[in-house]
Amino acid sequence: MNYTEIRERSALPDLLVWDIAKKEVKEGLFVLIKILAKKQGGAAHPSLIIIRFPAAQIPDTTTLTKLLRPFPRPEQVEIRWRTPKMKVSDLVRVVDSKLTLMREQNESQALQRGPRPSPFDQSKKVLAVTGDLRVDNGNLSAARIAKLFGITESQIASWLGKSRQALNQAPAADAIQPELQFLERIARLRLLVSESDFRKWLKMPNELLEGKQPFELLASNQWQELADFVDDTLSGSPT
Amino acid sequence: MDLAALKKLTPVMVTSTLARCVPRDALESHLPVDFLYTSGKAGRYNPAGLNCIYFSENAIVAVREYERRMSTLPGLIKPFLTYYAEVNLPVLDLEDAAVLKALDLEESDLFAPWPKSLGSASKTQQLGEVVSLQKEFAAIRFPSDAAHRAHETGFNFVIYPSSTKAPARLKIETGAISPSQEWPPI
Repeated sequence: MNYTEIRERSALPDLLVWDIAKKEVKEGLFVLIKILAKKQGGAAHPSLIIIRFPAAQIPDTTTLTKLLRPFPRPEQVEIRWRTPKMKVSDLVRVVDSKLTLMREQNESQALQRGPRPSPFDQSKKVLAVTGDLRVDNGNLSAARIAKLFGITESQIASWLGKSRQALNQAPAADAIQPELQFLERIARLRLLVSESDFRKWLKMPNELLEGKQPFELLASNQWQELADFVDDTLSGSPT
Repeated sequence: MDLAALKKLTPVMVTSTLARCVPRDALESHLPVDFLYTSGKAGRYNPAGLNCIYFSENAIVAVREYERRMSTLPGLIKPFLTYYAEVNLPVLDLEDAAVLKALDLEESDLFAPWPKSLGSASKTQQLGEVVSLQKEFAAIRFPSDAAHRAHETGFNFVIYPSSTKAPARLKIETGAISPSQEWPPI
């Protein structure tokens, strides 16, 4: 990839192999590093970056540290040297298993990180709308959320990857709060609709969701997408 | 999407008042309102992670957009408030057929569904990313899908803070309810 191609990408690919030219200008190298680091920071998916130097030009440790420092996830950047024997196709084969594991780990962690910030996070009126989903200590309750969403406790336990028994014992446990925050964000729609209309909305095919029911997105763990959709509705974002 | 193709195009300076309709309950729910809040959630002209803000070209288009959103909710349409932004921006105008051709875009691309999550980007989202990386254009003027579906002609704007540099300007007309807000920040 060249400078323009890297800049123009909307997101980093899963694997980026960057071969440093023999006459690469050092300043240009650092500019590209900054762009890559920024994109890595904005990406929610794992992306492995392999920077290959000509064999005779491996930088010293101080320079390598300087090169890696801008990356928010330096463990996903590898410095290697180029050899005629190591083709890119071989390299891809070697790192493919690592990429697979990184993707698996990322998917399992996405919901545990909780939703991204919303413009309504500080709104007392909006938070009051979902106040009934919280227990005395302020934690969200899976049981109350299940009741609002019109689903069984077994179903919400399955969404959360927990057993029904475990959820029954601690429906407002700290450990499940990040996942429940997504559902609280979705429940903020009640600022505009009644409780029964909210349940109706969950089962209505929605043309702005490519004809899918919000419930389908919930069942397939697309919680951030649905939370964003509710934000867009509350903020009147053009379609 | 090609940055080189964008560089061959000339921005159109737009001085206008843009509009957006917001459910009254939501707008009044958190005063003072941050009208320029950006969360990086995906939109038609921005992949997830890229900050920008959307407005309609005028109040009529803003109402069409509002009606479309509200049509997906059960019950009666909710009351709304309209707020306005005064802008003076260098714009990439997708109404211009020559611009579409230069960017290798078809009209159908402008109304196509767009991915809500990371990992892939539609042509319009890729265009937004490219525009956000330069300073010649601060905004894109694009046809409103809501107006299009209502068999009307109307346009929206997407404005990128990273590309909005003086003398380009966006100022929210807040009236008395909030402090004035603008890009670039004063």
